[in-house]
Amino acid sequence: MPVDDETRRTLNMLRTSPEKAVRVADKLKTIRIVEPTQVVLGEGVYWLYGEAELDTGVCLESVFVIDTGDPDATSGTLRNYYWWIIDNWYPQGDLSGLKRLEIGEDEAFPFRWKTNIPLDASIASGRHHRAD
Amino acid sequence: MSTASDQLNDASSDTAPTVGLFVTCLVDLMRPSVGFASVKLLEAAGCVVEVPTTQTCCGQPAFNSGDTKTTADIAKQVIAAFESFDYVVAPSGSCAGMLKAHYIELFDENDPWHGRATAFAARVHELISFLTDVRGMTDVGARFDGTATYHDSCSGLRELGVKTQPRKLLSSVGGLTVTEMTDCEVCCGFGGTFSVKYPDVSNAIVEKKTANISASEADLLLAGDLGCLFNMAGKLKREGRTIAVRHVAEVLAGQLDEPAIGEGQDMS
Repeated sequence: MPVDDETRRTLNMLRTSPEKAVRVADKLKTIRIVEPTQVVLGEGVYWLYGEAELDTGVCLESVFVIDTGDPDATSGTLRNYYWWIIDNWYPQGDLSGLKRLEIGEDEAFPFRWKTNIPLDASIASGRHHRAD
Repeated sequence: MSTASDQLNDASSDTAPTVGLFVTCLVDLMRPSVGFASVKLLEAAGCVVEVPTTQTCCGQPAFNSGDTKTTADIAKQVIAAFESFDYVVAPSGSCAGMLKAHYIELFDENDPWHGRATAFAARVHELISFLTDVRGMTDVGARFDGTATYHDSCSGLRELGVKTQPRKLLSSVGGLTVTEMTDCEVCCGFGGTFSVKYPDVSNAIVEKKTANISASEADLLLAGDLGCLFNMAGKLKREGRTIAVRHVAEVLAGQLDEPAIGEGQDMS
């Protein structure tokens, strides 16, 4: 399940500029680049650079797609994530990257995750338990 | 000392390969000097060059937008215009990549055009890699006094393996020093339709690229794709940076009469 060129360019941008975030803000899904000091609730979907620490302790550069919800939201969710493994991006659910590291699914999950730009406490990063 | 191109020029015209120059839209409409530089280099490499007047766009904008029907119609036109030549050469890794890697995908294996696209693809080359890898050119006999840095364009690098070839020929240019920028292989943010669909992301990418270009302290930026070059030249200009921008073929051919890309134009 390769990552398409447009997504790859966006992921690479976040990897080389981790202080930036991609914000998908309105009903037209307008994409903006922002540099917030903190991501708060109710501001749509953010793509953020960060790090995943697998259950085995291996750390992977990552991009997390986080839905902070509508303006009246009371919590946010981790919607999706991508892992940078060796020389390529691997989307959520694609375990072929882990195979390149000779790490089994049971050794990877649950993983801890943390974004480079801090999240509001109500959408705080934490543990993710499943591959899909 | 005779150069490789001198030796190749001595070859009998009977054995000289024919090259159909795929000019590309951007060269034709925005920077014809790259086309003339390409002809000069190809002739120096002992080729007989023709520019078929029936050629069109390679179809990449349609292909990248999902319009495979229109792309297939364009591909048929391009193949028919060029399949009589020994080689098809383009001064662009992006367009050459389209011709070489993606035309085949447009036709079902049972379609006669699949076979024609396959045979066509085998003859397609990006300009600089053709000069070095196919024609064995090692010395262009040009001169440029200055320091240049080279950007590896995505399609040329990742689809066609163009990396060492331009650096090899640039090392033969008298007076020229090539200095590598940080992340020279990272995309400039152009990506054809990408820059139109995602302008904010594209701008963030090129902003990083121009910072790396500037940090290299080169006074000339080179690449093999005009799309990337226009994108980077525009950003450099808007940032007030004075580094000159040229297609690598212009320097290799010693054809520098044309002002550098964006020079003398208001791109703000």
